[in-house]
Amino acid sequence: MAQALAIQNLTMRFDGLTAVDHADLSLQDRQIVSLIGPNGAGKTTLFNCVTGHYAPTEGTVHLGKDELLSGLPPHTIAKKGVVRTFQNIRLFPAMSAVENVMVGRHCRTRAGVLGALLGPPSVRREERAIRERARELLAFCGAAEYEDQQARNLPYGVQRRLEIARALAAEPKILCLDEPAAGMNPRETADLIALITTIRGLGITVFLIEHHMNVVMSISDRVAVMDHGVKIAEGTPDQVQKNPAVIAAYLGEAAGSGP
Amino acid sequence: MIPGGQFFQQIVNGLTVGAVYALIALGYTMVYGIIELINFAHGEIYMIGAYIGTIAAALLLGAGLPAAAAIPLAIVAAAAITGLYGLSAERIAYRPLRKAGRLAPLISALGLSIFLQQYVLLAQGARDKVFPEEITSSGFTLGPVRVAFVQVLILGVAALLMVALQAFVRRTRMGRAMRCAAQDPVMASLVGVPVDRVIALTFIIGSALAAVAGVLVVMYYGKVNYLAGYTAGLKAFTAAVLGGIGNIPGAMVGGLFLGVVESLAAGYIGGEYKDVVAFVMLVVVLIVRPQGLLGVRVPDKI
Repeated sequence: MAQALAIQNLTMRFDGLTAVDHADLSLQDRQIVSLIGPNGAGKTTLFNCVTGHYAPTEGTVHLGKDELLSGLPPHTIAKKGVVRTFQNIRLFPAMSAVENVMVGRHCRTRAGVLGALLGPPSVRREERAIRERARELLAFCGAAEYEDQQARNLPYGVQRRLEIARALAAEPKILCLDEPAAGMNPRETADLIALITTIRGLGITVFLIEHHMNVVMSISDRVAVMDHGVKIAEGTPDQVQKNPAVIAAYLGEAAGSGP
Repeated sequence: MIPGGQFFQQIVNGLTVGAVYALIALGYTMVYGIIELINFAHGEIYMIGAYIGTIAAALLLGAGLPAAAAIPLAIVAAAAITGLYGLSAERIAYRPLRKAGRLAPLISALGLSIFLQQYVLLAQGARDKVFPEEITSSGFTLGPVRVAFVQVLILGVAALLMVALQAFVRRTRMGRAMRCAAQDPVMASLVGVPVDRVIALTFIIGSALAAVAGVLVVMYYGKVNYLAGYTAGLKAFTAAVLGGIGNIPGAMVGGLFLGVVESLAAGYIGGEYKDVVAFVMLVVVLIVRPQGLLGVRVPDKI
């Protein structure tokens, strides 16, 4: 298996606070890798560094074998194939569901202003193709019937799936999901697990932050555990569950809580 | 003139001026929609557009082109070159301050406004620049109402541009990018939209629209000077606030509404009161309906 993403020696400091402290992690192609840890452990900060929202204080992020991502602006990183969703949903509220997904196609399409003004057939074809693909992705994520509704009016579970559809529209190599199961009921969670597995089946590497232990343990190939900005363990779900350091830091309090 | 006739005459005149306000207001509202900046240099951009259009028309007519070809070409040239002024303004005066809060770019905008005024004063002098072709006189009458051809031209061009802009924003890839950058720029860049380029594009489009408005006004009034951007800018800003700042259809409605109200005030109260009425309306709207006629009240962004 080839390397999909390599995080090396990654450190993020805010004034005095070290949110991520010399973290190393590598993801292989088509793996589902979960990042777990107590609140404030630095998981989302790590995501922010990977997707270019923050420029890391130290360390590097590479895509594939040797394509340097750290330091690039977010839209370039998205174009190279790393796209994320948000813990607190961030859709474009005043756009319809299908338009939200169409925005995700931006970095894979070309039409500019002149094209729009002159309106040659190629531009109209592209616009049709964008809409068609967006519809397919909505259907893929189980939100087809909400196509024309404004994003702000959608049910919570649908908003979560819509965010995933929008991310998929950018044709990611690596999809970063920040707590996709947060606030979902057991049925929605089961659907989400199935969706993530299908996405991996498409050849996409999934990088997951999640608190629902049954989600993490049932679908992850590897699990990394963070606490206070430091990666304290990494391994298969079984290995991590048995790791005394992890139990002390995290599973000790969370093992009993279900979905 | 019978009173009914005067009423319709003022409506026609008001719509003409209002269409111009609307074109300028679009630039304010589009920029505000994306970066929440009141671009106080936008009035000067309009004034520069008027100068460039006048100069281009003089050159083209001097080269022997007929007016029917020279004037459309002058409008296109003014839009294109003024678009570049807008682009440069964004790069030099605003982009370096993107992360500096809201006050710094506002001050930068005021500085740029003064700079552009003085730049035109030095380059073109303080005297009025006169449009090379006399077109205001011809027209036709419609019952009691007299309509100049240039008024028809202004209304037609403005309507065409507004429809085109609306279609661009609603139906095209770059228009979609503009809308999503306005709603959540951070998220837009994370899903692959190059937000800085979208902002630059917004400045280009807004400036080009203002330039077209500038050329139309020079043709209507026959002349322009380096201070013309000040009042026009304030009026268009008022129009944008009236319609709901950040809202594109709002700027169109606000502009037309302001033009008509102003014109009626000029006709029934007296020409010297039209600015009073316009700005009283601004104050009233800010107190009674701060989100504007078409605006939606939104919570402050974080």
